[in-house]
Amino acid sequence: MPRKIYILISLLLLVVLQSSFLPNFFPENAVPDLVLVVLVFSVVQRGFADALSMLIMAGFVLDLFSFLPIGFNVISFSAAGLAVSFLARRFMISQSVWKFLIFILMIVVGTAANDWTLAALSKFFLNASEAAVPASFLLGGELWLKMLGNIAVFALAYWPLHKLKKIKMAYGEKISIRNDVR
Amino acid sequence: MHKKYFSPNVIRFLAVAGFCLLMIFFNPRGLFDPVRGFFLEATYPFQKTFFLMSRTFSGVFGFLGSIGDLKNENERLIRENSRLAADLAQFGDAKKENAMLREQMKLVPRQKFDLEAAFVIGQDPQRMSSWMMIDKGETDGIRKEMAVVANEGILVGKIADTTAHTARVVLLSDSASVINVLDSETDSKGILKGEFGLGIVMDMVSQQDPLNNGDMIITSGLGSSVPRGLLIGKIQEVRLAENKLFQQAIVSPRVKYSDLDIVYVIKN
Repeated sequence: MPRKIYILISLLLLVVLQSSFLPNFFPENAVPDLVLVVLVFSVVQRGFADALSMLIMAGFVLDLFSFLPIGFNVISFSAAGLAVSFLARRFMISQSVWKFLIFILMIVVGTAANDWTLAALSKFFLNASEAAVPASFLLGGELWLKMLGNIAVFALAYWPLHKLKKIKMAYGEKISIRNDVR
Repeated sequence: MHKKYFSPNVIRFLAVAGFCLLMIFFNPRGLFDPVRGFFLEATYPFQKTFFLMSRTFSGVFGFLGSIGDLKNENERLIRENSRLAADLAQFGDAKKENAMLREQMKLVPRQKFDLEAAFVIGQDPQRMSSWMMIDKGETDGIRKEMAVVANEGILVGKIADTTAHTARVVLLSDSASVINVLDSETDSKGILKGEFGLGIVMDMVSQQDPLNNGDMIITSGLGSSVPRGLLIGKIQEVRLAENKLFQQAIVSPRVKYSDLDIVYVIKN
């Protein structure tokens, strides 16, 4: 339970950063989707089944903050997570450089799957006067800009997170060696 | 051995999607509003802090980036200043006074309204629609459908949702935004609609009513809580609607919505 609360607080912080901090640094339709980047990373690391609860929680939180009907972002994040896990199982390898590039590919796939699912849901469920995303948005410059923004954010965060993971693993080994010695 | 048509992950996804689709279809409006209100209130201080911090940082970076353009901009402004001074001398005071009076008759003075100043503290995190969050809410007398203006009476949107301390402003460029407007030069009436955050269009204008490039578009005050005489923008292009029955005008907004820091809510 404390872990779930920690995840919820982290998601809230990411949403606030995404809606209040980043828009002043990026063009209007290309603000990076921080929550999506973290979710893609989580799905690749843990698999779709283990990350599903986090996908649902993140979707619910983002639906609350986006004033969209509850369920929109849950479905779009789940679709993105499914697409990413499908490809990750087939392409993920251990070599660090290729692994980074494949992560980039996962970010691209996740962004496209998320945006297209949201656009389809908007078109079918929201009144046309409320929100209907045109085809030019789905395939045009805005989507590519958003992908670039997500990739930039991921690239900035990847190496520190990677180092942190190595430190955590090394620390874990030290403790187990110490316990063995005793 | 039976062949599995769906992997466990696909079944999980279908289960989640099916449940969510039922929720969306039955659309229990208002059911999660208290939860939404709670989260918005809880994060409001962080939203305000982060937004103001990012404005400060982006201002510094913007200034550093623009140093190279300052010289060119300065020369351009000096040339324009000289041209304007010559125009002023040529046309004389009468024309200046005439233009000022004409504008005053169409634009309502700011002093007539009870205005509540508010900081912009956030935007749509998904960028699928055009709205912004302000730091004033129900406790400050903000209600739904109130008009929101910037600078000297330039309409930017309307209040769509409120919590105790925050409110959501749907901008004119949002596809859900619909405002009755008129051309201040020709009195041609129409409906202003947003286009997915990409721009705003004055639609449903009769083909007999004249529309000219450069005309100012203002609110007509018909059928809504938005008062008459608030400036929207300038006509950029006039074209026929897809159904060929009406005219349309692409309107260039007077302000850039993404640059707004402070807005005013018209409470009366």
